[in-house]
Amino acid sequence: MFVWFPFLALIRRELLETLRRRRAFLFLALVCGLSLLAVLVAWPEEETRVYMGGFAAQSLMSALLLSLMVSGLLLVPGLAGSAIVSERVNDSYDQLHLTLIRPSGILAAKLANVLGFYFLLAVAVLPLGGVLFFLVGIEWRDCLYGFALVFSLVFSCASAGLMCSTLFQRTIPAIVASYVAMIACTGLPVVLALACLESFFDYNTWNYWTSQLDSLFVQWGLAAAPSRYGGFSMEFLLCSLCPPISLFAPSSPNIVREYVYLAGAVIQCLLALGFLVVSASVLARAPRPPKVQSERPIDDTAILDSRRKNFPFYLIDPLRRKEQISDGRNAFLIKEIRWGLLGRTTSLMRFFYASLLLNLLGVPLVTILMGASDNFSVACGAAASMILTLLITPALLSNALIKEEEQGNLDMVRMTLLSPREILWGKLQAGAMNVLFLLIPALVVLLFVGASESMGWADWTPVNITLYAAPTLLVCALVSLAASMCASLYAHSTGAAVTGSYALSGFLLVGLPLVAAFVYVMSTFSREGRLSGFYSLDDAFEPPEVCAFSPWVAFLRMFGERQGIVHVYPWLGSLALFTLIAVALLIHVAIRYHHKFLKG
Amino acid sequence: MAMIETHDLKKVYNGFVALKGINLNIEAQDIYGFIGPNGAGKTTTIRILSTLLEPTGGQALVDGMDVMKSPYEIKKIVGYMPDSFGVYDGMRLREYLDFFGAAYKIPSKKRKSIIDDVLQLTDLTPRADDYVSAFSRGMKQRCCLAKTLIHDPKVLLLDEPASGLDPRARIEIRELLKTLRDMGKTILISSHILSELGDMCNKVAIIERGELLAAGGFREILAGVRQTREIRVEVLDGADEAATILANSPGIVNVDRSGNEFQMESTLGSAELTQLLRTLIERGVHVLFFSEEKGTLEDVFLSVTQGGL
Repeated sequence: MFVWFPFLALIRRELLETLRRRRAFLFLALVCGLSLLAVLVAWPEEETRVYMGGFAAQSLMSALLLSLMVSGLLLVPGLAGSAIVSERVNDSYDQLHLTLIRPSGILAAKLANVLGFYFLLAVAVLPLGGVLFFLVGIEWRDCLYGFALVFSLVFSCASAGLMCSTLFQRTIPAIVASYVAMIACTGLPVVLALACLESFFDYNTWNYWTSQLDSLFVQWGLAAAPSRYGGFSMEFLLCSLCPPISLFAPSSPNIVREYVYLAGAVIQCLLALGFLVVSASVLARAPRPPKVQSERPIDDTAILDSRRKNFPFYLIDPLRRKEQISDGRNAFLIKEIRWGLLGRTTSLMRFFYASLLLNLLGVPLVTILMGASDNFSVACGAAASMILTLLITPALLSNALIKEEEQGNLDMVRMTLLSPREILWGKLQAGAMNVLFLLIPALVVLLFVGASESMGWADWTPVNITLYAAPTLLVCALVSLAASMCASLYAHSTGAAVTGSYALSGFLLVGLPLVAAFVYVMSTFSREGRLSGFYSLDDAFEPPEVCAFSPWVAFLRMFGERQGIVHVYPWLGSLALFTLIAVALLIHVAIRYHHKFLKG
Repeated sequence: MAMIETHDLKKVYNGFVALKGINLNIEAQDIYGFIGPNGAGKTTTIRILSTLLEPTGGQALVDGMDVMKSPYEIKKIVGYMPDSFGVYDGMRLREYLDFFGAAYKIPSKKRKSIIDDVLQLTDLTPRADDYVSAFSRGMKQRCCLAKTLIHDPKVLLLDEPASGLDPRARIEIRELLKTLRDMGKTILISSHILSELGDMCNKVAIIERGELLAAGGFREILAGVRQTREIRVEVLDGADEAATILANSPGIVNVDRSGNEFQMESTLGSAELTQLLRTLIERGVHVLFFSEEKGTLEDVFLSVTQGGL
C-alpha cells in the first residue's frame, strides 16, 4: 500500500506520533469535559412537557455541537499551524521533500493527521450524543447536517492553519496567524461589522438596506427556492457565514435549520479548498532560500544622522553599533531587550502600530456597538482592549524559556557565571517590558475614549471607568504573562508553548469564571430542586463570589446597567486573587526553572 | 598535579547505566583524547566535568574542586564547547562575544581587548561585525571556540570540536588547539577522527559502553594491547635465505612473505631484534628495510573496543 501511496506512511507516522504524546490525553480530557459541561448545562428543566421536547432536544444538540466546534477551534489551528513550519524549523522538511511524496501528498498527509486526530476526539464524544434520544423532536437530517457543519468548519480551519504553516518560516507567527484565520473562518468579524453598521444607522435606514438586499435575492430568483424554506435573506446569509451563530439561530420561515447548516458547510468547504490550493501552490514552488542578514553596522555618525531623517530610522536605528553591555547589568536582560523582540526593530514597530491600531479601532468600535450612550458601553470598550492585549501577550512571551533549549544555547548559557535567578529575572523583566509596550497604547486609547465621552456628557464617570480599567488590564496582562512563562517552561517546542499559553490564559481568564458561574448555577439547582439552565447566563455572573473569579467580569459588572459603582469589592477581590494566582505561577516557574537549570 | 580527576564516576539515566565507574587522571597541560563509539559515555563524562550534569555516584574533581560542591568556581576555570549548539539570531559576532563576556562577568574595560585577542586567536577578526546566524558550520565552530575562550579558562572541555568540518577547517582547529596547549591550557577533547587525535594528544582514554577500557600514553596503551611487535623486513636479494633464517628464529611467528617483503610478529626484545638483523646481514642477505610497525590509534581503538551498541 505504501509503495503505491507513499504519503500514507507520512499519515501513519504523524498520527501515531500525535496519539502517543501526552497532550493527546489532555486534548481528549478537554473535549470530553467541554461536551459534558455543555450537555449538563443545556439539560432541560424537569417541567419540560412532551410538546416542548423538540425545543429542548434542539438546544441540547446545539450545545453539544457548539462544544465540539469550540474544541475544534481551540485545538485545530495550533496543530495545523505548526504542522509544516515545525518541519522547516527542525530542518526535516528537506528530507521529506526529497522522498517520493509530492508536495500535495505532504499537504494531504498533514491535513489527514489534523482532521484524523480531531475525528478520533469527536468519536470519543459521540456516546454523549445518545442523550438526544431521551428527548423527541430531533430529525436525523438536523443531526447529520449539524455535524457536517462542525466538521466542515474544522476542515476550513485546518486548511487555513496549513496555509499559514506553509507561508511562514517561524513557528509563532504561523500559529498566531492560524488562530487569526480561524476567527475569520467563523465569520464572526462579518457579523461584528454588520452589527456595528446596524448600530450606526437608524432603524429605518438599516431596514431599507436590508430590504434592498432581500429584494435582490428575489430578483435573482433565489427567494423562490424550496417551498419549505423562504429563500435567501439577510438572516440566512449571516447564519450561513457564521456557523457558531447558526447553531443558536431560532428557526423561522427565513431560517430553516438544515438548509442553514448545509449552506454553512458548503461555504466552509469552499473556503477550505481555496486555502488548500494556495498551500499546495506555495509548497510546489522551490523553497525560498533563508534570508541572510548581511548589513554591517554604521559607525560614521554623519551617515547615521542622514539615515535617521528617513522613516522609520528616526524612531529606532537598526544599523547603529550597539554599545557594550555595562558592568553590573543583568546580561540576560540586556540580551533579551536588545536582541529579543525589542531588538527586532521592524517587528517591534509593527507590533506597536498593530497594537495601537487595534486599540484605536477596537475600543471605539465596541463602545459604539454597545450603544455608546452609557457607562457600560465604555466599560465594554475597555474590556475589548483587554482582550486584544491578552490575545497578543502569549504570542510574544510563550517561547521565552523554551527558545534557549530549542536553539541549542541552553548548555552554553548554563556554563556562564549567570545564576538561574539572574537569567529568569532577566527574561521576566524583558517579558514585562514587551507587554508594557503593548499596554501603553491600550491605556492611552482607553484614556482618550474615556475623556472624550466625559466631555461629551459633562460627566466624569467614563474617565473613572478607564481609571478602573487600567489596573484590571495590568492584572490580566500579569496573569497572561505568568501563564505564558509557565507554558514555556513545560512545553517541549515553541508550537506547544504557544498553544499551551493560549489554553492556560484562556482557562484562567475565561474558563475559571465560566466554571464559577456553572458551580453557582448548579448550587441553585441543589437548593431549589431545579436547574434554571443557561437562559440565565447573565444572572449566573451576578453574584459577587462569581465576579471575584474574573477581573474583567468583575470590572464589567461594576459598571453594569443594573449595578452602578457598587461592585467595587468583588472587583478588588478579583484583582487580589488573580495577582496572587500570577505570583504563585511565577514562583512555581522560578522553582522549576531553577531545578531544571541545575539538574539539566 | 592532576587538573582533572574522576574516581569511580557513575551516571544512570532512568535505569540505563551510562557510566560504570570511570577513573580518569589528566595532568595540567595535557591534551587528552577521549575516544569511544557513539553512546559510549564521552559526552556524559564531559557534561559532568563541566557541572552541567550531576553524577549518580563517584567523584569528579577539576583543579582539585568537586563538581558537586563548587560548580560556580569550576565554571570560572572551565571552557566547555558542546558537540551541538546554536547561535542567537540577530547578533553580530562581536556582540555575541560581548554577551558571553558579560555573562562571565568580565569587566567592560577589559572585555573589549579580550574580545579582540580571542578574535585574533581564532582568526575571526575580519568577521567581527557579521551576523553569527549567517556563518557556515566551520565558522560557527570557531565562533563557539572563541566564546569558550572568552574568560581565559585553564581547562577546555571540547566535545567533538571538529565534527562536520572540511579538511582545511579541521587542520586549522588542530593547529589552534596546539597553540592553546602551548599557552598552558589543559584540554580534554573527544573526537571520532582518531588520526587527528593521534597527532595532537599526548594521552588518550578509550571508553565503551560506559567503561574505561584503556587510558594513558599512546605507547603505553599500545604496548598493553599488543603482546607482540609487528616487524617489517624488505630485502634486495637473498629472499629465500632470509625466509629460512626468519622461520628458524625463535620468537618470530606468523611470517607473511610477499616477494622480497616480509611481515611478521615478534616477541623478541630490542636487543634480540638487533641480533636478528646482524644474522641476516652476516648470512649475505642484502637488507633494504628493517623496522617495527608503530601502529596507529585506529589499531589501538579497534583492538580495545568490541563494537556493537
